[in-house]
Amino acid sequence: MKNEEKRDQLIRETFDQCLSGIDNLPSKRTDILRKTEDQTKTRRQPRFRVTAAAAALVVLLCIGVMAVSGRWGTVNHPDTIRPGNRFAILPIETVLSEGGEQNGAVTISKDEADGVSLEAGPAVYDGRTLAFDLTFENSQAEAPVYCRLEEFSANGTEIDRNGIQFDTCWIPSRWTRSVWQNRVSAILPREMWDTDQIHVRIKLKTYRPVCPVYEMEETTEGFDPETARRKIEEGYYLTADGWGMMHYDPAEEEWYDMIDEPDGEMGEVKEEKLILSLDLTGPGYGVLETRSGYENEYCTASYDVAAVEGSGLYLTLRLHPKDECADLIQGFVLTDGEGTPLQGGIYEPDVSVKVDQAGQDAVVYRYRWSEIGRKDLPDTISLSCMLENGGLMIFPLKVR
Amino acid sequence: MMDENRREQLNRIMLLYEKDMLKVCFVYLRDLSLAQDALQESFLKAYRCFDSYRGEASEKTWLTSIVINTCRDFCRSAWFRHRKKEISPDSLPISVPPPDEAHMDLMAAIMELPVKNREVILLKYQQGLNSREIAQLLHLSPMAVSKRLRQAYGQLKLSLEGEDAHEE
Repeated sequence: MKNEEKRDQLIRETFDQCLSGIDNLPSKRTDILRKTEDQTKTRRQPRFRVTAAAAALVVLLCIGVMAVSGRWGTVNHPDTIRPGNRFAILPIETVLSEGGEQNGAVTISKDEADGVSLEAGPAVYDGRTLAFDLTFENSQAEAPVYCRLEEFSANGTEIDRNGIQFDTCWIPSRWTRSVWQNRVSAILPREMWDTDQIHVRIKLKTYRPVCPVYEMEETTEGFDPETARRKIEEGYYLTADGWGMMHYDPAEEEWYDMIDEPDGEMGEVKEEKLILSLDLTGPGYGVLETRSGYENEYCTASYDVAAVEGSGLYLTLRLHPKDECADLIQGFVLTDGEGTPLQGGIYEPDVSVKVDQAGQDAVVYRYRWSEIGRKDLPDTISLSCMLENGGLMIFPLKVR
Repeated sequence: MMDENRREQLNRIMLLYEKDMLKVCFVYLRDLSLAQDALQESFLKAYRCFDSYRGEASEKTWLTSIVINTCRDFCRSAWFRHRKKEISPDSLPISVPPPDEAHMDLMAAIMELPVKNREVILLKYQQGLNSREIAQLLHLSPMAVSKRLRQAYGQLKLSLEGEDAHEE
């Protein structure tokens, strides 16, 4: 057995052996279920019959089958999309706006304070998901700031921060540069889905030590107390990557990590607040510059959203199947105008599917590819759908 | 999804993953009582978010992502966190049969890893995720995951060699 295999086996055995005591602890299942009952009383009933999870699985399976089956790009394939072919769709050009300057759905917001700035944008709201680039910059890189996200809310309700991925941290530190940038993608609470007006608020607090900063290096032995003492005597403010504000108590010879707001004990720091507000109208209909439709014997369709922004490519297709053709229509894959998957089908979208009964049983497919930017797209793109009978439907869009 | 269905779903995922996820919380937070609180909070979040689970990741990966983020929130919400120099075997729930010394030493070393490296070790070996899944879950590149794993191996090696030298 190789050394690496031995190591892997040893670590797995360690987890198995040392944590096996947890298996014998009593379950908290009943308590947790009881707590859900309190939440139920305050929640509104859903407006639509949503089959998102099941439908999304079907879509993903379909995409998988298409990718694996090798049908894409084969010699016979172009026949299925030839104009006049029974599977072909009337290709109506729809303008895909880049940057969104032509419409009001894309918003940019910026706030600055002493040596720090926070900017969000351009933002897209497709009825369920908010997406935007978030950039924080410390222009005085020689003096790190400690950043803490205080609020991330929509219409006054806190949004799950899983989408923002902004850990409390020092900027810059050994691991972050003086500019921190991330693509934020957050799913709104269910009660807000398809709301016309969304007001997003982001509040970040920063703390800049008045003293010069010295970043302690952590080893497996912890921090070197001699270095720490010397640096404190020299007038430095000690920090450590990923561990918040450091505090050394010489009496106890112990290190403490300050995770939340600093207090006087931590030394003098200067506080700033950065607040961003994004007002988004939607759900997403403003992103399309023109509304166009597609029709054939199987369905009529139109794009609700078609936008390529800093935070990705967004396409939402509203499809009305005709008569008994609904079962033939499966999920979609992103292709060029000829139905060939972009980059061999490697792009993986976030996808949700819902049946909108209010819209005459329309099926709404929402896609977002976070890794795709304008430069990745050919002149024409399409959501394309392999039919169960082997045909292919394309819904081409012209990219400007 | 109707509330009754959601509760059934919650009950099902708790039956499947409760103990597994408690282990994740425990290794992350290094405190059994805090871990149990974090686990409860995670399942309540999952209950509220069933509709937003869109099937891109496996159910277990989705739940692990919620658990990890909840543990991070727990770390943030504490006013002060005392840096423990070492994890005593007594702080682990009693295992039957008791682990041998070598495994206990390694467990203590894992628990003392910086959280960034500890979480990749935890996800790889305790949760059985591959680098791509870990990268997706932690919003990192696979290269960054490999780098953290390498750092963790180095730190574990140093830590265990240090102990051996001390015993000699």
